[in-house]
Amino acid sequence: MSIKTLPSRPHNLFPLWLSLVLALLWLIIWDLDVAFQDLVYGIADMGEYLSRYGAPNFSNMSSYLHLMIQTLVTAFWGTTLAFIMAATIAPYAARQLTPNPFIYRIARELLNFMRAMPDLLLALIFVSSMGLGPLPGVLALAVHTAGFLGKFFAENMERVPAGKYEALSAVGAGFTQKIVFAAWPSMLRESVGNVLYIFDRNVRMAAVLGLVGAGGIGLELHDALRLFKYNQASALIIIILITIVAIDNLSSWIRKVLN
Amino acid sequence: MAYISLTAVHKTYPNGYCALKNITLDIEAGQFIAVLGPSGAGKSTLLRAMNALDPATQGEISIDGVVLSKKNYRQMRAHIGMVFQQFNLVDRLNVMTNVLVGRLAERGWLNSLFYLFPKTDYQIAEAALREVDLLDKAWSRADKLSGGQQQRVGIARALAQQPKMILADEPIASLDPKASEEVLKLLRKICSEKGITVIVNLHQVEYAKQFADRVIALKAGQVVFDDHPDQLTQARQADIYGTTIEETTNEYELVLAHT
Amino acid sequence: MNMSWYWPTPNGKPPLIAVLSVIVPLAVLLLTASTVDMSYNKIFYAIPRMLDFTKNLWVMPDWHYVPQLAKKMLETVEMTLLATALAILLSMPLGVLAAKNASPHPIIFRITRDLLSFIRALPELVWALVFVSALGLGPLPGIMALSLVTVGFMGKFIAESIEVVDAKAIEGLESTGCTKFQSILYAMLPQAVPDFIGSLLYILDHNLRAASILGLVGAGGIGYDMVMSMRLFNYERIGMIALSIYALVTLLDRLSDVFRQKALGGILNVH
Repeated sequence: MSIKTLPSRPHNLFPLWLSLVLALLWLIIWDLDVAFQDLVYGIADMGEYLSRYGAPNFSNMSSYLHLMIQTLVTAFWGTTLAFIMAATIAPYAARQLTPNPFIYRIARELLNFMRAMPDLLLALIFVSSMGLGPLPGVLALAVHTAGFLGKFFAENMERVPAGKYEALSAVGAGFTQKIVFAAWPSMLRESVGNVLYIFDRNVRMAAVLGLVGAGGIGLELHDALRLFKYNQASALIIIILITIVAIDNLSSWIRKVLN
Repeated sequence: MAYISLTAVHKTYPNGYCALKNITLDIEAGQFIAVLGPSGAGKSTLLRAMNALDPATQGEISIDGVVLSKKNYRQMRAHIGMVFQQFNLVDRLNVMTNVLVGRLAERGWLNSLFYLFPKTDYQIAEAALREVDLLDKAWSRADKLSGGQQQRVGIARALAQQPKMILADEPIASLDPKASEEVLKLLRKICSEKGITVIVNLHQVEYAKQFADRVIALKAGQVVFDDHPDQLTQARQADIYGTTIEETTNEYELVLAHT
Repeated sequence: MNMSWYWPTPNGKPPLIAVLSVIVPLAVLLLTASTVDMSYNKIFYAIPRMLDFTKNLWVMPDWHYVPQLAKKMLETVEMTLLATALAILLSMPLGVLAAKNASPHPIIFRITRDLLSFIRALPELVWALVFVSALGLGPLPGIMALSLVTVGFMGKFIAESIEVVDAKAIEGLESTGCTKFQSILYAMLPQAVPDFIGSLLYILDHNLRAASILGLVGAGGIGYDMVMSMRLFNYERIGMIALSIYALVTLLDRLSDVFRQKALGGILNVH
């Protein structure tokens, strides 16, 4: 049996989707009344504006460094606390491990809720309950990223081949034992990657939580800009930049070592 | 009284598919039983119903006088060893730990959390590894072993449970012929020397004849043969599989002749 | 019965890496506890205040606030979509320039790569601070900040995808005598697309969350309202704001899941 005629061309929906997206974007630009022409006119001004950052002023270096270290430590504490919370909740949010579907739903929703709350909002709430300082920042980061980490861990656990869990069920192992002997050994690599990613993210967030009084270098930057002290602002930006790049490189290095 | 007793066992999956229909069997202690049948006949389902990995939907299964029920799955499984087609070892952990997993039913969660086992468990694991002749690989990572070796670790894990019966669900389907023979010889030895009841799912009729005391054949969820392997004539095989080995070979030659 | 407990290692002791990975973080935590003002007292006494706060949230919502809330939430969504769309547009050419095997010149490759690293390294809020300082308040600085950072991430991602592209397809194309540009368009970019769609969903999720806090520094979106209502203890509004952000983020989450399941297949059949 041979095919005598060309089968009809499958309907290609891509142009349709593309035009819908473009129409949507046009609508958004109209609604926001975004003055792109201001931007275009402002390019020259931008040049002048950016030159103000040209001469970084490091005179307050020691206090800046202290703040940056505080930022890093805030991120570290937040990540570790998040890890502990996430590792505890995640098994209940993994289909093969959870004791019953009801608990599964609750665990999943809890993690979603923790993720959905913006860390800034949590920081605001904690600051109003505990006063200013890095502690509310730590807790805000911990709760928010526990949601992320918990979802990652739960997904890792679900990706472990079912047979590994079955073998443990077959010997009569209990909940904790399945987690310790089947789940974690099989998901170690991805989980370390997840934790490094979250730590990276937390360093960036910690740098800005200071804007609501939750410690770190963010507040300093905000004040500098508000007082038009561009030189100090650029010094602070450079410090933040170097720290984040250093952390990024550290994470990549750790990842490489582990492979 | 029979050691394992199935009475009117049905297994119907949620989508309506009926995998086991009205199975009634009595199995004496210390027997080596081969379960045969075409794919989809319900061999796996039968075994997995016995240790409740896929519990029966109707009927009663009792082992050593105790009826299998939701309340006692874990306790029952502690004395039922299972060997899987895909071995189901935890790749990252070493062989010793994989064998020690067999002891988990009797360990509390706290010690398991830290991967701690008492000396007595190590002695049992050592004996199991000696039995399967893998002592020299005790500290190797499980995924560094060949297929046949990994399956022997699986058997060692089952032995570590000090079980009264071992269920082997297609243990040689992923192994080459040499490793397959090794594994079946090992299981036969365990059965004869220790009096452990062994039930093995197989595809190969010759192995069943070579090793088993009794052959149970399933077809479409029902028992169609339950007798000494010598009774398994060509004619009976045709009933079970719909054809015989000779016939299939001849068909193949016929096809070759006509091209 | 006295049982001595051992670890499953040749010498019965836990492996060094395991011990270090517990001891080292613990040590760091203990040493730095003072830097973060970690104190049980503070947390303990804060609990009743937080319970109080939660109790105060259960009030009748301020219905008059709904129009403004809707407007600001819409603005947040629009900022997200626009910034992400712009970023996709910009990051494709930049991604190509930053890919070792597609870049026209090694110097261009290095410059683009470093540029992308630089813009990626600062959090969106910092960029927003800078842009607000330059352009004034409003959603525009927020959109710029968001796109910039997204370009940084997307550009790197595309560059990396292009670099791991299957050499055979490229060879096949080049044997027909096409130009470098054509080989990029027909061999490299299409192979990078499926992963791109996956990361796009993550980026949208991230940008939505980022957009909802940019208002803190006046760069548009619901962030400003969020901070002001906290500062003024406007409990009715805080609850509404938190709820709408939660609803929006969850909606996007569910949509991504659905899209992920369906789209990695169908819609991508371009020809």
